[in-house]
Amino acid sequence: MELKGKDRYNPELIPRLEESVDKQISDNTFDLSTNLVLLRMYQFFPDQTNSTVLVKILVKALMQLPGTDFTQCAYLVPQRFQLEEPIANLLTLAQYAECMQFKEFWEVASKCKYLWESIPGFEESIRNFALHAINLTFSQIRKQKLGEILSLTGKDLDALVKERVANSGWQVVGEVVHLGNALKSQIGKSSGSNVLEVSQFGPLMGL
Amino acid sequence: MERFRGGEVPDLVKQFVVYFYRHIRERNIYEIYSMFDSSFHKLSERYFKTTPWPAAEAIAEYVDNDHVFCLLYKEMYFRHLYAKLTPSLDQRIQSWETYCSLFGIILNRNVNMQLPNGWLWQMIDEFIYQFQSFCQYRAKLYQRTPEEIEGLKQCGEVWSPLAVLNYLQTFVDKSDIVAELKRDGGKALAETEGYVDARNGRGSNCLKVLGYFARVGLLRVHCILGDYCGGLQAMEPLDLHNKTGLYTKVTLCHISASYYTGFCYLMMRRYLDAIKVFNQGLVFIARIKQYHSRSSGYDQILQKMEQMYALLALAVALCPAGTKSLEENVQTNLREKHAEKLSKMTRSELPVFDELFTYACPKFITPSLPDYSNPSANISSEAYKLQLKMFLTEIQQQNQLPVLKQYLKLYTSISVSKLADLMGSGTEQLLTLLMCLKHKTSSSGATDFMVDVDGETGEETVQIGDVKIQRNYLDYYSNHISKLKSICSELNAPARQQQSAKSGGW
Repeated sequence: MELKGKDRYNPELIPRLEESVDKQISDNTFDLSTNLVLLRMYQFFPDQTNSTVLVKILVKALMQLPGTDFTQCAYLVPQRFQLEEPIANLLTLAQYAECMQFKEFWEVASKCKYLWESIPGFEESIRNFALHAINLTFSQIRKQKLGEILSLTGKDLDALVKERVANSGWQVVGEVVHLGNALKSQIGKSSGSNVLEVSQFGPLMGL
Repeated sequence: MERFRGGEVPDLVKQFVVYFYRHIRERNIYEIYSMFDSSFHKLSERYFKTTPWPAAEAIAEYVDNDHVFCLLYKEMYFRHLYAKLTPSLDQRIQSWETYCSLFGIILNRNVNMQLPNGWLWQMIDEFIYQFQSFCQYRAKLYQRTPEEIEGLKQCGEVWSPLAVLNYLQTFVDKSDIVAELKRDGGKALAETEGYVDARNGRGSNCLKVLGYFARVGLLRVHCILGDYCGGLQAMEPLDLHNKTGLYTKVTLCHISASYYTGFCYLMMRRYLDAIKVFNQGLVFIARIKQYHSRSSGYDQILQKMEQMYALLALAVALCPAGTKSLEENVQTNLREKHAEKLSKMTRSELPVFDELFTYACPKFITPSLPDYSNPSANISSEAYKLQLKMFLTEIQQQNQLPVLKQYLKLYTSISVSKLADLMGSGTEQLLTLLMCLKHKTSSSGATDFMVDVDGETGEETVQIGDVKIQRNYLDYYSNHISKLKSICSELNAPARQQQSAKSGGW
């Protein structure tokens, strides 16, 4: 939703901003700045807060990890909302995800699935975030560990690995998955050089 | 001691308003600013240390009852009142009305006056300060009398956050400043400083320059609401890297822009960006400080400088790699001021983060109306507590990482189980920490290591890259060589007439 100038400070737009959240859900997109405008309206007029929409925004923001969208939204949610369910639960989930405690994450998540019932792709987004972190950290990983982090077992895990083998250059050797990333070749290469550019050299010689 | 007694206007004050009025009519920017920045404060010190200036009605007869001048006078009257006394609810409302009238005239009528940019900036700055102050006043219901609470209920638009934001945005829109900045990056504006040349007829700089400053004002309002992304957005396309922009000519504006931009970056976890902005702001302050030692904003400059050093310490503690982009003297000062705190922060001592944040953060506000049915409540620090809590949550998420980093520096390869022993954690927990370290540092130069698994034994090992930081001697020496050269050439140059020191300007 495009907001120009004073639109950002016009409370009459609240209904349209709320509609836009549903649109983002159905289009599978996320528009941080529009959502922040709505959160700010709720901050100005707490009695107009639609808690269903508020939860939707926060769930969608959580799906943007590793981005900081969730934190940025939470800065605008008043303390008394943060202390109540279900937002307190979402904050816990964010905390676990940020700290890579996926076992705990999935445990809590299994109890509040109803929060993202109407939002497609939540679990997939979190898995993608986890895979992103795995890809930064591991060059090889035990398949069982992989399954634990992603909360996938048996057929589901096999399907994911198979898809990655086909598309992302993974290899499976026994119980170990080789992620085929460039970590190995990058390691130990120090950055920064001590080469003097000609353009830097001139002034030093008084040229 | 001479003191002002109600009813009579001291001669010096009469003279002051007469001259002030004349200079404004004659569009004498330099004189106007000197009266605004210096004479006004001197007279305040002499006559009005504990009392307000004479009411606008009392001086109107000396200035042809000029409506606009009286509004400008009132703006200064309330500025002084806020600084020296405690404004009552009525006075707060009157000050709001003064701003509304003044802004209404500038926005909707063709005014001919030219005001110094330094004053226009302080108008925006004071407008937001009074808004902040009103929110605080309203949040402390327990200190209010029943009459005041009744009065507050009637306030409606007065100092409401939406009205404040709308005024600022209207300045931006009406001045069409965005289009201009996009067109030439603010070059033309910086050259003329927004002043209209008298030969080109009678124009005014007010609307355009207020539009320009309103962007920095919006940044600040968003920031004290906790909307950091919105704050940065409001500044676009005002570019802090543009070293010749108009804001560089108005010292207090420059400092405010650096402080709030840096703070937004810090809260958005863009630590490297924060460090760069603070560095730039602090270099600027170091350069101009001496010219302002007698100006009215000097204390404010020093205070913002200390706060920026504190915020810089936080950013550097969270992202040590950023130290590289600091100028030498900023780095030295940072070490002088905060060395002990920095080393405590690398040991993840939470109270130090808390202390620095509390000292250096802006004054957050709660924009919603208080619960009038519960007059004993005090919600004045709620907003601050929330932002502090969220900031410390982030710190806590990282609290084991510095120790882990230290261990990683000692090895080129270590088994996960051994490293786990050293950290006093389980292997699963350690893998979690390793992933967390990567995630938290990926935006600011990831730590160089990876985990792999031995195919045969199934043992997990951490392989660590050579993380020795190469000191960049090149920049260091080349900077010093050129510095030496310029000193030598200055010493060798023939003596010249003392150049009048060009101050950071107004």
